[in-house]
Amino acid sequence: MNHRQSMNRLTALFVGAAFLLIVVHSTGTAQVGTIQVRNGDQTLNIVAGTAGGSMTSVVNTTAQLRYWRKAAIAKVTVTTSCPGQSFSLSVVATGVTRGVAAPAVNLVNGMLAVDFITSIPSAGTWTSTTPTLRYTASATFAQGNSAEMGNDVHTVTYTLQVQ
Amino acid sequence: MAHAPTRSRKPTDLNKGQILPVLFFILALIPQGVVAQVYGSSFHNVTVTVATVNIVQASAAVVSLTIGPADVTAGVDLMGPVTNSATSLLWGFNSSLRKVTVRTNLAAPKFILKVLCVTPSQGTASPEVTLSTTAADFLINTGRSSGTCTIRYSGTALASAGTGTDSHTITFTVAAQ
Repeated sequence: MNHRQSMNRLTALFVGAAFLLIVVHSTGTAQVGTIQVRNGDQTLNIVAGTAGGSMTSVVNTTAQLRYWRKAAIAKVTVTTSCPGQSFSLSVVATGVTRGVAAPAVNLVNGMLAVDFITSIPSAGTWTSTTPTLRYTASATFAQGNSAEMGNDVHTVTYTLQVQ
Repeated sequence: MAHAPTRSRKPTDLNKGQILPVLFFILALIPQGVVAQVYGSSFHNVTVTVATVNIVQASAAVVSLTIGPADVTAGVDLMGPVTNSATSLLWGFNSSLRKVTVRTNLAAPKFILKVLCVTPSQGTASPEVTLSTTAADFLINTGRSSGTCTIRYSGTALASAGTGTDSHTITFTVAAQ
């Protein structure tokens, strides 16, 4: 093997190793091992109200949010997209044991991502934790009904990031 | 003609085609936390539905009007009126353009009972109506809203009709306008 052949093989080795490293990095940032919404899509149905008052609010605590311990102190932010939103929806994390839950966040179409859980520790031996997502839907009589206004369909996104 | 001296390449020198992969390799070694602040995201859909709810409620279950001696004028057959404004009507409509009608279940009352919507917080009060078994407008032009008004009952009697008691069941109904 001459010099040129050996350098070409060395080059190929570098490229292969770089590719493998990038694949390993990408796997480390995949959904599993970072943050995950559990128990799928949710629906809240407002069906009653009080004459002279408001519609009766509805609460849903089925969904959970699982997040993993990372190398740096982290936080979770939340945002939503709901074009043509008519009614009100808020969310708060309950049962938080790793980090500090923010007060209930009003989910408004087009909002910037806001803090949802902060000060998630990087120290310790814990691997992941799964607090509950408590959604509250409310409406006024003046906001109408789904037959006339349509349903509100929110795409709620949670992001785990360095604090 | 003299030729420019050429430099001999050392075995360890990199050519241009080898520089890029090496740089690629070095960049891949940079810790993720330095390059990206975000570890990951997850999302789901949350749907809010609101049923059609159009409701009315009277604040008191029982109203009484008594026509007595104080309501009589000698030589005049018509006695009264006696009024009662102690009751309110509350409503909540999440459908557009609704009205409230009112009727009684008493087909042949002995005395006259009228009803009027007073100072509604939303919509337009209809003129005072004499209650019958046929529904009549009580409050109109009410859009999606939650509100209240005073219900004023007015009772009159003819002295020639004698004495007695009329017991009405008054029904307020939400209807599309």
